[in-house]
Amino acid sequence: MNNERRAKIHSLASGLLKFLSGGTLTVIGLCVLLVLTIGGTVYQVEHGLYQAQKDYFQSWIVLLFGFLPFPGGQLTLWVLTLNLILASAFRLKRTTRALGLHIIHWGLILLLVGSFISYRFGQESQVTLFEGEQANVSVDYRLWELAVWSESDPARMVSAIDFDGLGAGDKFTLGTLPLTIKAAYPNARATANGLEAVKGGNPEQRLPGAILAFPGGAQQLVWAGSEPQALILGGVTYRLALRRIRYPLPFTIRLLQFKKETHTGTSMAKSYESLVEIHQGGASRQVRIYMNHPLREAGLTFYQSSYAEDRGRQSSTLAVVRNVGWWLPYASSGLIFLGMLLHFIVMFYRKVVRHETAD
Amino acid sequence: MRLKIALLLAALLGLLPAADGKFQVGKSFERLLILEQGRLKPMDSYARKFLLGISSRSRAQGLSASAWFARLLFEPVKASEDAVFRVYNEETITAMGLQLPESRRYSFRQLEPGMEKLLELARAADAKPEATRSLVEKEVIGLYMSLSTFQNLANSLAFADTGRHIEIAEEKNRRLFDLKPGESLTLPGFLARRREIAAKLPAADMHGGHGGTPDVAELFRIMYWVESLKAVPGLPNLDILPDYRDGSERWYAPWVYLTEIDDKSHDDTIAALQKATAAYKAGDSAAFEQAFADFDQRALARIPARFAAPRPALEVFYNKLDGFYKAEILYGLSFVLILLFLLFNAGRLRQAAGISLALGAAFNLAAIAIRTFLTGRAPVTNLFETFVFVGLTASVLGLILERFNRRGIGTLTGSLGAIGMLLISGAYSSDGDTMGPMVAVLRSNFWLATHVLTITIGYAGVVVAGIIAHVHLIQAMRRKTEPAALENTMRMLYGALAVGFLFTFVGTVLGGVWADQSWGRFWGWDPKENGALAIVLWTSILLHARLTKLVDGHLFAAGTALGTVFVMLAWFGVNLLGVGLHSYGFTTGIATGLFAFTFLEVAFAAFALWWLKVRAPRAVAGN
Repeated sequence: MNNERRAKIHSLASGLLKFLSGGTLTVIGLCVLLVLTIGGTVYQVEHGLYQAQKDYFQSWIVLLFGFLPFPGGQLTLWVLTLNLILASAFRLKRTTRALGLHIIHWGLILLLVGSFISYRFGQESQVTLFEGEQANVSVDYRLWELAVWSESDPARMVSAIDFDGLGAGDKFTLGTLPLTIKAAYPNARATANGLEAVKGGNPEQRLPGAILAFPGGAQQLVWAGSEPQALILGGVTYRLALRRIRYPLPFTIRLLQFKKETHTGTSMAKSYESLVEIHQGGASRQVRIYMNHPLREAGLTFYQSSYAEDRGRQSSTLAVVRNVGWWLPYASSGLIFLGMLLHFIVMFYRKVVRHETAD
Repeated sequence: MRLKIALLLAALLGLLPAADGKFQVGKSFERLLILEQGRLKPMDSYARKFLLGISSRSRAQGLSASAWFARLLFEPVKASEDAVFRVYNEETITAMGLQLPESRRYSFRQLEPGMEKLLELARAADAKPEATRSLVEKEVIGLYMSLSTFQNLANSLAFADTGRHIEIAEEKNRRLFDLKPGESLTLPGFLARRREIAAKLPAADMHGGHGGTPDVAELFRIMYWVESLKAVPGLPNLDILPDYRDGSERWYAPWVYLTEIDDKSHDDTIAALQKATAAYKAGDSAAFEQAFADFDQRALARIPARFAAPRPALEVFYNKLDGFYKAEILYGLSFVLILLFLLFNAGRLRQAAGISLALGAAFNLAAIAIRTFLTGRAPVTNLFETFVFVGLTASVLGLILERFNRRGIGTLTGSLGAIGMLLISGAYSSDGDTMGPMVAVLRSNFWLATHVLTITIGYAGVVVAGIIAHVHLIQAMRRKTEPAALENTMRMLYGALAVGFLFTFVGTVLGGVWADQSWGRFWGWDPKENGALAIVLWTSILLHARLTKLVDGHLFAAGTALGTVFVMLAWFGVNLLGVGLHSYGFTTGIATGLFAFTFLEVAFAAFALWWLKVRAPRAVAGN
């Protein structure tokens, strides 16, 4: 490799680095994000929040107006993260003056990384309890699982597989039951002749269904909302259910009391709170969960989410969030505030105390 | 001289009583507590809101809202002749099947014959989705509600009214009511014997019809007559009788109490109301005041200590002070003065404009402070409050800028921003009670005081920067402007935008933290969150583009001018989408204004850029 070529590669590389760490990329990235933010907001009116998050903010590529390819939120945020790292490493001056700016940029990087961790590893589910009821599992909002257990098993060991991603022809064994998927519908309706696919539908309201085949030619329909279906195979009675994914909780939670207050003379809620009992390792304690006061326990956070009334009995729904990175936004906001404070103190000192002009 | 100034100030404060020798409703009536839409408020607030709602005015027949409201309660027959119903569309009157002389306001008496038709039309309009209703359909619904509420209120103290009567023929009943020959039964007469009547009537037959003997049948006829004066349920009523006996909070309208509960627990308050009615009829201000002083004391004494003590006197003061309106006037004056200063360059004018702006800010602040004290909440809890708070912030920012940079631009920006905000707030206040109860999720003073205040200060910063950007562009388009002046404006623009960026950014992040506390996620791409993010992104794009010299001063200024559009869209534009967790605002008819504003701003920025770049290119100072 001759020197000229080396110099050319070198200048190309440094040019690329300059671009990647440069303000132009920052501005482009922010502009793209602005378009996505506006687009994703308007998109929600038609398609709902979940779909907007998926299509605009968690995607690599999004089709604007349904046909125009545009960088998606995930791509844009990764590029901006890279840009922030490189800018702090190469572009920003390493002076006391710029220390605040460095801290702000690293705070932002942490914020973006934290949001990726929440997105990738966070898990949201819910527990709905009537007063006096208890639970040791929480239920997913959207995702479904195919669950099988044997009637004769006194311990009722449940085996389950995520329904998302299953398709016709898939073969596997659930517990001791081998089965084949004949057909799987993300949104279906049970009819007299079997199952019928339903097009579209809000992801949170979809009711999936499937046709299953078993050794010996037996077939069974399962669909969301049906009672667990019985299947007798080789003298064993199995139960099959298509249900929301259940996540085990590390403790039992019991709803002791749900309290809702309304503003006098109106139906507008003033406050609602759940008094729950956490039973763990032989000991139990009572906790109040109410608006703006969640319960954090064993890596899970419980929030007062909603409530319902059924024939005089009240039920409370608690949102359950498992997010290892829940503290990251707090840490990064703290860092950003610190950086801003530092930067403004420095600026104030330079401008007002020493009367320096801007550079 | 001193006295004159004091009188002038008092007049400005609106504290002088109107001395016209007429019947005075007095303090106690104005402070009378009433429950409406989940909030205990003084009668004065209720009366103002009601009158403003039906007539778009705060006075009627030359009377204050409270005084007119007393007329409605105690002399409904006279009040029904008052032209207080504002009708915007002639079509509505025609649709009601009425032929009335063209007018802006009509009386109840004029409109009453069309009420049956109006109800039919209102039902049909109500069946339609709100977005598809025409202006006339909206007015039909609104007018029907107004008329029915008027009717409710007009009947609400009828039990004390001796003017309405019913003929009694049966001798048994005449004896029961102690009627002298030729006398007919009045409502107070009925009320005095109501318990005896209730004992005589077989309860199961109440709505079944006519039990046995002619005298019982006549008692039923009396009951129907009384029933017909009862309120239309579901519409506002005069809920002034407190009941806290079983530990919960309930307030009853006198009629509802008398006809449905009547357990002797309110005999004293009802008697006070009867006295007040008599005093009003007799034109005796002192007795009227005395009766309501007695009533207020008895009502207040029933509220247990564990319920927040209402402060009706302070709220009446707040109403009379009308601080936002006075601030609006002073801001307007300041704006006119500073424009004159910019034209004629007389230093006195700049000073006067500054003083006027500062006085306006003082009224603005006083009104916000009293509200905060009254509601016991952080200063900003609903859309109305965001506007008055941003108005205050804008005027204060303007004053600070003017202090450092004595060229009138700070005052110009501050007064213009503040008056704009207060004008918008007016559109929101006419919709309802601006101190109404809050939804459960917002009830956290800590977060309201941190997240909401920070982000509203940020909005103010971006708006002020936007106004300075307009000034900068106009200055640049004028050839005469000296480069030094341009540079000076640019520095102010930069400072204001930096404040706006800092506070919107911090406010947005704090919002994330609050969202994590209450909904379990830091960020969820909800419309309101996206709106705030859009402002942060836009300001951050501007600052980065300017710092890296991607754009020159003109483009930077044009971009900052457009920042106001982002603020308006984020602020109440997202509420128009009608989706998301943050849909707390009450927004109707704002879309058109927002659209026009966006169009004008874009057109202005485009024109300025075309002028400065193509038509008459001008180098930017400091580039």
